[in-house]
Amino acid sequence: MNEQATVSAKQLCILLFLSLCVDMAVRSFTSGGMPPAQRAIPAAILNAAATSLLLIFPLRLQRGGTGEAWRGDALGTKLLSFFSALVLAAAGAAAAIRAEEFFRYGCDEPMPHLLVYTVFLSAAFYALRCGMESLVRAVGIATGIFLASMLLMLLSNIGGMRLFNLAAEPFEVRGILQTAVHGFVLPPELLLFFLLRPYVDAAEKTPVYRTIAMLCLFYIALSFCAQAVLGAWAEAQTQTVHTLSRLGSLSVFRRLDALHTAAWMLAELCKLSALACGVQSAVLRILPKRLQKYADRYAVGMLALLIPVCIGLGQETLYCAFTVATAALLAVMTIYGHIREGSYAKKNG
Amino acid sequence: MQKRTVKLLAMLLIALLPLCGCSRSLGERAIVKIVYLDESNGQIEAGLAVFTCTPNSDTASVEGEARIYTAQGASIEEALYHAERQQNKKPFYAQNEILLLGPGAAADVTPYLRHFAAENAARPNLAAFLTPLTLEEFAGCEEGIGDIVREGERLMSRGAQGAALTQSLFELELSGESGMRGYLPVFSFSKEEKDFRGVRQLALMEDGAPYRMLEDAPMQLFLLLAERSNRLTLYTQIDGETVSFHAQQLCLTRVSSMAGGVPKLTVRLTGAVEDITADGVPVEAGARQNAAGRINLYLNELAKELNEATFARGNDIFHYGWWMKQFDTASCEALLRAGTLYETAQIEFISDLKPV
Repeated sequence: MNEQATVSAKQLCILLFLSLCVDMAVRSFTSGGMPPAQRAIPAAILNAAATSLLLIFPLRLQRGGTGEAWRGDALGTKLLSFFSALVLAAAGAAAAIRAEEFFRYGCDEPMPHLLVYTVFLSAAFYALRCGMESLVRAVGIATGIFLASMLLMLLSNIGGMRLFNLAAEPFEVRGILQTAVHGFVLPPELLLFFLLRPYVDAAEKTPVYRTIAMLCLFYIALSFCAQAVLGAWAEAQTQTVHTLSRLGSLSVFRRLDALHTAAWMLAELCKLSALACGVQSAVLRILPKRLQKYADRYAVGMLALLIPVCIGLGQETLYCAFTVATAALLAVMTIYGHIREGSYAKKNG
Repeated sequence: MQKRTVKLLAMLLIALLPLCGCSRSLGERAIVKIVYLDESNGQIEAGLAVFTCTPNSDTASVEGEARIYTAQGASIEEALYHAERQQNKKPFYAQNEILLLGPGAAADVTPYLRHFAAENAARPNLAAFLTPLTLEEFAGCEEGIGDIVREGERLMSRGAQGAALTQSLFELELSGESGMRGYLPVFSFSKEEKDFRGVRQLALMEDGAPYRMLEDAPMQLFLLLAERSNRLTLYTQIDGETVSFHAQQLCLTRVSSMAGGVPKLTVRLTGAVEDITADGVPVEAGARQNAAGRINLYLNELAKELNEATFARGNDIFHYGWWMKQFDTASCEALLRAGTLYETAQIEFISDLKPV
């Protein structure tokens, strides 16, 4: 593993941001429609706060290293690295499946599944060969394109927004809590962040809370826009944001959805490549030295093997499993890291 | 490293290309611009206005040969399938923005609209119209269908009077058990001249069927109250006189309140009225205030009639219920659940137009 700092904290957070916000545009087909903004927005704020609270201790370990040997690399054991690789590979497989389903959904003439997955995995493999630094820079550009697409979609739908489309319900704390609990997910991308953290200079602060806040704001903007344009239809549509992209028009440009879909698919490819990079990083810690040069192949191979497994499991089960697995790994990592930090501090007086 | 970043981006973009390029070109597809559906003798009748497009960078272009294909079937899917099979190209529905429902379908439009409202079944901005044309009459419009499509698509943006005259699928109320509620524009057509005449009537809908037609002054005020327009150009009879006037940049304000458990909404129309004529003669400066007063009284009465035809029947097209909820959500919600909101709520319309 390359111990030198090769990426900046900002780049790492942008990677985390893109990996999570693309899931708001390309929604899971089992997630159901968007809840009314009146409930969704407070629920999103609650979930963002809950996620930030859960990350306090793991992030403190990242910052509070007591010496040179301890660099917050709490995923240093082979067992933790193995499970992290498994969870990230499953997350990558799930991302590939979702991207393929979305592509088939939006396409008038879809391509065979096998061909689409081959293209996705080939792109991810090439990204691994280019190296993490190049990937992180490419992700930065893809994020810019993605956000430009979102801004264009927002602007093109301004004319269609109506106040009376916003649901007017009595304020109910119970309803908000139910929406928050139903929508709460601990994404495996958080593990990706911790896996790639050693590539950032130890002294550099990572604006993770700011990233989570930006994600929350992004979701609030999407939720508001979807409800203001679509009204009750937003709750009936699975791909609400895609429906918005089909409605928006700007001057003489009336059908912009193909443009948006291209930007979102590029973001999905970047996310898949980032997760593959995380798998590679975890696999590097497990493999003996003579096999480490094949880590990229092992990473893509794991993704390829897990795609049919994840298709069989179904998305609902998968996302539930991700939340549990991520929570468990973060908890074990925190405890392990705390013990390591304590013993290191004792050793060095 | 920058070179590798550029190469990686290029590779990712190249990876996107095979995902979208390996298909038939648009020139090889039959582009469907209008879908017509009707019901007759228990059979669903379908008509497709199809263009075989010459490749063109303007994907909205309707240049090329236009044909109308018709068929019948036991269901909507079957009728559309048989109509598609009348020609040998694969149909392309992504540019279809017009749905016409004939007189037979107008008996209950709900199943037709629900068919297209299913997710990804059609573009969400597919505009639905009622039309008096039968299938044979629609099929006879083949010669001028290009002009009809152009006119129809022009309606998607603001019409000639600055009004949004279309109703897109995502704006329709289809979730109720009893059927579609709201309104649908009527695609007016001259059968003799086979010419599209624009949208001159609106049909108020309840349980999937029209129960009242609006045109002229009531239609214009309806569009204003539904926030589909912000102007009025009327030519109507007031107190035995033929009065015409023009008012634009009109503003509607709504103030809700509650009195003794009864929700109340005051809708106020403000703006300037100009070019007032009475029996073809422009009203003199000194008499304009009086004329504006009569116009205001006329609009108040018209709004009251519209309210009785819509909100009082539970057809809340003007979203009065939403405005009332802003004042007291819990009480209004309780009245709505009890089914008494539309009977008990009081709506007051005040027109306060001033002469220029």
